[in-house]
Formats: sequence, structure tokens, C-alpha cells
Amino acid sequence: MSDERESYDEDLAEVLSVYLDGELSAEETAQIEERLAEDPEARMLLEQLGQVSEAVQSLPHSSAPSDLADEVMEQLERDALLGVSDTSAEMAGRTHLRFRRFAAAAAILILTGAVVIIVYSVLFKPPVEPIIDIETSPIVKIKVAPPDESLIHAMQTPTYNQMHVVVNSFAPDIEADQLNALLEQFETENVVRKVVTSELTEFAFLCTTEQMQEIFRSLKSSLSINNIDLIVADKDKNDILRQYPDLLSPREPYAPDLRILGPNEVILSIPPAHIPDKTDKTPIQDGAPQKKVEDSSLSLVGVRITIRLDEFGFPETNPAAADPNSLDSPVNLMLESASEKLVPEPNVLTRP
Amino acid sequence: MRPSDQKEPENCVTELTDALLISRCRSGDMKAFGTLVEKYQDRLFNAVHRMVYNVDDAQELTQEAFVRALKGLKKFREQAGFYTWLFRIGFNLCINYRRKQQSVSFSALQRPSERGGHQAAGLMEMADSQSPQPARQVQLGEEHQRVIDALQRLAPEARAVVVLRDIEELDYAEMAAILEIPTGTVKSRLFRARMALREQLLEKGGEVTGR
Repeated sequence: MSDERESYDEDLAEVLSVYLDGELSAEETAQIEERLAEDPEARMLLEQLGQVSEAVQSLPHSSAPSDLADEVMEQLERDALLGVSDTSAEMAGRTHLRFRRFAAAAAILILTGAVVIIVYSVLFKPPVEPIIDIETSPIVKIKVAPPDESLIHAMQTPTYNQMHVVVNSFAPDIEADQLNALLEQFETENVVRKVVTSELTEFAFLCTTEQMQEIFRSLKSSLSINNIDLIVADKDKNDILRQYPDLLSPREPYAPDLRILGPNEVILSIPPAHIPDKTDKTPIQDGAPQKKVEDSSLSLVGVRITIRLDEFGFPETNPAAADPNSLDSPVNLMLESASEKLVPEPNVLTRP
Repeated sequence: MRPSDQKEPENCVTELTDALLISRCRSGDMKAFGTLVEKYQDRLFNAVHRMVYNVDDAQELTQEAFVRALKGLKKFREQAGFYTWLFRIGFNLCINYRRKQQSVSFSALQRPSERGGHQAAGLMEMADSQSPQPARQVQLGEEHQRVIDALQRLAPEARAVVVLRDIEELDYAEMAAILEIPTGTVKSRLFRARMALREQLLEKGGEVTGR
């Protein structure tokens, strides 16, 4: 293929192609014929386009096999006998393909919704506890993870909980040091500290419920991360609910809003009415400075639960779950604060 | 061969005939559908064959197009002719079929002149020793093969516009209706496809072969 062949005026070639097919208007035809009269290259290009067209036209006609009609009728009879649906015809056109994709997406939504509701229901059933991660500040984030496999044995002790705390701020070292000191003060067990990034430090540890409650109060009062909301990772949910009555209550079923983010990711939105109160009404004990936790910068309007599903539609199982050092949340469900990001939309599914 | 006698029915009698046959199909008359199949099978098969190259695949896709057309008749609103409806189904099947095949492509190791194997060699010998007619047939076969190979190297969407225009002799509006694309897209797609074919078919002398 020579360069000469590649160089051509695209606009001219397109007009010539249309001219060849007789699809130009009278005015356009006059213009191109005028050009052809004085432009030998245009004439050459037209001739070549015409040759291409003729070459294709010269191909011999292929007649249908003699048994084609019989085969079609036999296939129709087979389909009728087998009860093959006639919906396949809908797949023919592009419009139908689009409709089919839409229908498939809707079906996935419904199925996924069912899976999500089941998972969601299971999640709130002890002893497997929900992971609640309520983020009320862009600079502080605390996550609580459920027991991982390596710690299940320890979890058999009813009063023990595993906590998974992530300090995410612009000055995490100070806050992480404070948290570390706090954890030592409360004699928590199996404390694992991991500096993930310059803005992220992660802690995982075991503690009793009482310790955990104390830790939270202290976190709110002694650390600079004052706008932490409630963080819970408790084996005994009822205990926590007694302590924090404003927390999500299974006694008040609500209809979560479910949205599909991607093929393997869905979001459940919890209406504002079911979001824990922004003000911590729990009395501070042990002489810790009493301080109401208020978030003046953000208004919490919803909680988002992100559930990532594997290719089979089941919640992903994270192999890192057994590793307490892992930053990856070893859980399938993660609650995130919606803050300004999420405004619950009209509910589409009702929790059974 | 130009199937002009089978071209999209433009006279009222044929249109009525199609409409009548479709009406009977809808009421369960399979014989009427058989008549429609016989009426359009050659034309659809020829177009599909140019789209997919392989005869067996062409038969399977043509067959599938008819089956889907019948099963979807209740969706057919007769705003376009049955031909347009049938070809839309057939070409969508071809385009999707070719997309699936694109991940694996096969190229003949033989040159086109060798592709006929001993038969072609025999023809060549015969051409040398006897009359000039077989030689011309061999040459014509090679030229056709070059065009077919060039067509197969086009993207399925590009091949579709070439087949509909140069083999089916449809105008841009009819092509747009079958492919469900704007006529502007038909124009640009066709011109690009022809330029691609030109590049492949041009010989050093500057003349397109394949005729």
C-alpha cells in the first residue's frame, strides 16, 4: 500500500461515494461534476470507487440451499414442541437488545435486592454483628470490623469484642498515638497498629464490652477527633442498643432504598429517621470531660451500606479477613455515613 | 447477478401479498410463512453469505433469521416492509455473529490461486493446454476471492453497508432502516468501507481488481 493511495481528501471521497450512488441533490451533483471536470485526481478517485463497487457487485449470487425452507419449518415445529419461548425474536433489533438489557438489569436489581435483604437480615442477627462505620467528618473515619476467623475462639467469651478502628486524618500520628495510649490504658488485648498511609492508621484489638464503651467515651473526649459519632462492634447487640437507644433498631423496620452501583455492587440507603442521633446522650464516666458530640460542618442525612457481591451474587469473602493487620475490611457489609453525599431516594424495597 | 427481480417490492400487488401472507401467518397458517420463506430465502441467504463467508454459517443464520421473524411477527407493526424487518433481523444476527468470531481469525496459508488445491491446479493446466475459457474462469475465481477476502477484513458494520448497497442495491434510506442508523452514518460508513476496500484491491497499476 503506497502513501499515494492513502492520501486523499476525505470530504471529496465521501461526496464522490454518495455521487456514485446517486444520492446527491441536484445542486450537489452540479457542484461535484464541475469539480470532476477540472480535477483529474477527483476523476481518478471516482473511477476507483466505482471499480470497488463493481467488484463487489460482480460477486456471484449464492442461492439458498434447497433444504433451507424445510429446515426453517422443522426448527419451528421443534421449538413449538419444546415450548421454546418466542421472546427470542425480541432480541433481533437494536431497540430490542436495549430493552433486553434493561430487563436484565431490572432482574438483576430485584435478585440482588433479595440477596441484600437476606444478608442484611442475617447481619443484624447475633452473634454476627453489623459493622457500623459512621463517618461524620472528612478527616476522621473509624471502622469497626466483625470477628475474623483467627479470633473466633476468643470471641466465644461473651464479653469480648473485636474492634477495628481506622484513624484517618491530616495529622494521624498524634491521634493514633493518643488512641494507642488509650488502648494501653484500657488493657485491651491483641492490639495491632498499622500505619497505612500518611493520613491513615488502623487499629485492631479485642476488648470487653465495658472496655469498648469506655474507649468510645474517651475517644470522644480525650482525642482531638471530637466529632466522632458512635462506633460499635459488639457481640451482644442488645447490650449496645440499650446503651445507645438511638442506634438502628430492628424493632422499627424500615424500607431501605437499594441502588445498583455496578454489576457487583449495590447500595442500601437508610432513611434519615433511622440514623443515630447526632448528639451523644450517653453520660461520660470516670471523670472524663463531658462533651456533647456535634457535627457542625455536616448534616447526616442517610447511611449508606455498600455490599460488594462476587460473580455469583454472593457477598465477597475477603481472604484478608484472617489477617488483623490488613487494612481491607474483612467484612461484606460496610456502613458509611452519607453526609452530604447521599440523599435517600424513595424506597423501592421493603425489608421483610 | 443482480437480483433486481427480487428487489424490495414496490408495487402494491406484492406489498399486499406480503401483508396477506403475514396476516395468515398471524392466524397460525404455517403454509403462508413457508411461502414467505421461499420468496425471500435466496436473497437473504446471498446477503448473509457475503456477511459471514462460510456457507454453513450463512445457512444457520438465515434459518435463524426466519425463525425469529416468525416468532416476532406479533411485534412487526408493518411500518416497514417485511423485507426490511427480515433483513434487520438477519443483519443483526450477522453483525453479532461476526463480533463473536472476531477474537479468533483465520487466514489461509495458501495464496488465493492455490486455494482450490488440485482442482485449481488442474484447471490451470487445462487452461494452458487447451482452451482459454477455463483460464478465464480461474482468473475470475481468484478475483472474486480477492474481493471476498477484502470484504471479510472489514468490520461487520462496514461490511453490512457494502453488502446492502452493492449487492442488495438498496438506497441509503432503506439501508438506514435496516441497520437502524441515521442516513448520515450510512454515507460515512459506506465511503470509509469503500476506501478500505480500494486500499486492499488496488494493484500497482492503480486499477482495482476483482471484476
